[in-house]
Amino acid sequence: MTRFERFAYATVVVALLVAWFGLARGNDALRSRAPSAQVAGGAR
Amino acid sequence: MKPPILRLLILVAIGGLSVGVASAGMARTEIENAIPMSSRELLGLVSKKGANVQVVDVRVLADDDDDVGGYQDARVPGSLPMPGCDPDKVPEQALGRVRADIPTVLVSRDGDAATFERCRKHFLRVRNLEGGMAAWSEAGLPEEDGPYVAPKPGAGGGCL
Repeated sequence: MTRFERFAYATVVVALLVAWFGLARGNDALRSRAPSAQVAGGAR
Repeated sequence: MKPPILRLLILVAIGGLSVGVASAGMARTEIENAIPMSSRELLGLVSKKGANVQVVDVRVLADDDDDVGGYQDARVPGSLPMPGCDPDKVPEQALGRVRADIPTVLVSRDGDAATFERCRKHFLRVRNLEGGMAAWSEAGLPEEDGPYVAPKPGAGGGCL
């Protein structure tokens, strides 16, 4: 595996992780405004 | 670890993460749909020129017995009529204008949750107007009346 390939994979993985955590945090914040979604979304 | 195996593991990880991101995105839409929109928030939205949102009014067209009235008595400016959430009852002038793929705000008489639940299946992204038309009128926000008139082509996307 070339250095470029490693860099490309690492970038994609980090970008996906950031997007996932960002969405998850945003969803938690939104759930507090939507009482009915807490049931549907299984919020803590 | 051999490069092909490492590559495979990375691709599996990317696949898993992609599924996670996609499901979080879908969950976000669901949560957003469940948050009612206040009258002020809707006013800000429809006042924006070119706002990518449609307002759909599901009340009957005319109701003389009710203080809030029907669609033709008083409505959110620029809103589209869809009496009883029935696509078959959309007046001829508004045919083809109510679209499922545009972010939608649903206006009922008083923002009734049961009405919203019944109507949301017609739209991909839809929010309920909190308090419905009753709350909009009570807040003294601008209203329109009379039958629906389709905007002229090129008249702009804003509702107000």
